[in-house]
Amino acid sequence: MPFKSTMFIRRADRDDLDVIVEWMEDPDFQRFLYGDPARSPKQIREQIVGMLGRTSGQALPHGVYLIIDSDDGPLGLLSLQNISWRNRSCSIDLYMGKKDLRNSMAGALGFFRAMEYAFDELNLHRVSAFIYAFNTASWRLMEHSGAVRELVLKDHVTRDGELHDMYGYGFLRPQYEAMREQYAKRYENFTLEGMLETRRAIEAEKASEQPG
Amino acid sequence: MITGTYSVIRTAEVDDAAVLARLYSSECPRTFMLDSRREHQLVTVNDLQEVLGRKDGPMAGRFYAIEDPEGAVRGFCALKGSSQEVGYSEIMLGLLESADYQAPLATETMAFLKRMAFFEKRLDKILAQTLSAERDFKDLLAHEGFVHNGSQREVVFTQGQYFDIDTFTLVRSEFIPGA
Repeated sequence: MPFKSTMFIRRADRDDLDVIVEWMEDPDFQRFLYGDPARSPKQIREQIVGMLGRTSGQALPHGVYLIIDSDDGPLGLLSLQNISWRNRSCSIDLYMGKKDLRNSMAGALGFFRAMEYAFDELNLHRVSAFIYAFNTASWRLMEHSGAVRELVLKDHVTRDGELHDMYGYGFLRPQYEAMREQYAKRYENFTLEGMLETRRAIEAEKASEQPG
Repeated sequence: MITGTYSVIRTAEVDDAAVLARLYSSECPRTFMLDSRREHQLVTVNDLQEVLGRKDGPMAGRFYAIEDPEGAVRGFCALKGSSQEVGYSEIMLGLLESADYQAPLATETMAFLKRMAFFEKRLDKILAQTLSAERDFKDLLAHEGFVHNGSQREVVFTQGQYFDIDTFTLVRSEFIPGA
């Protein structure tokens, strides 16, 4: 079956500031990931500007911030953090800003694209994810992808006055290669190169439609 | 200064840098030597003198040297990143001699760290992490009542190979029954 999607990932830049601020102010962002609910929008904005400034296109950055984008606009935020070039590892956070897409294929595709970038472009060996137990959609996505739950920290985080467990997942290159093989059997052209070809075709089509 | 029967625990000073550097050149890779990205650090005595001489920063005045009763420094310890807001902290313990992890000096050091975490800082939990090669530290943690929470595979690359990181925790209610 040919895979058709206009969704793609790209580096976040300053034009994304408003939409990222909007997502980070959402109580869901603070519940599922991190952040202090008492912070002002100005503080959040400053943090994001700092984040984007640290994501260098040329050097070996310690963090990369990516936008899951589509023809309908940005859908979510992906970050590869604590990148260690020596250990060839990083940790990942994924946040779907569009709530109706959280349990859809879009999250899985965004995760797959991020893994392609981490393993095939950055040449990493391991990706870690730390997920709160109540964030069922995220840890199910990790498990369907072949990631291994390596760590369970009981009563580790407080949300709404209650203690919750935290899970640590590890996704190593052999698991990534197994996932890629599995998807390749199901869909044609389900690759990062395929995504770029689709983007180029869409952009060429748009350019040809423009008058003059 | 905390004076026990087998140990004296005091704030580490600039003069301890040379002994601390010996820990970093130990043959056994230890979590003690890792930075926040879990990378093995290559440090010099000068780097350590600078760190130990800092009057501010998160570890200032909270990094301790462990001496034996004769005054020889045998290792270092700290509670890393402790805050009541998150409710937990991570133990850092590095001893120069492997045999010391099973000695009464280590037991007294662990008692000091537990008291600080659960009574002074009123934390709910303390964590400890070990590399797969640190059998001596793992044995000490098991002896001290820590529970194994899992192994993160192939996290740290050093000495030409990957090492797993094991995580252990001790909760307040196990240290203070009824808490």
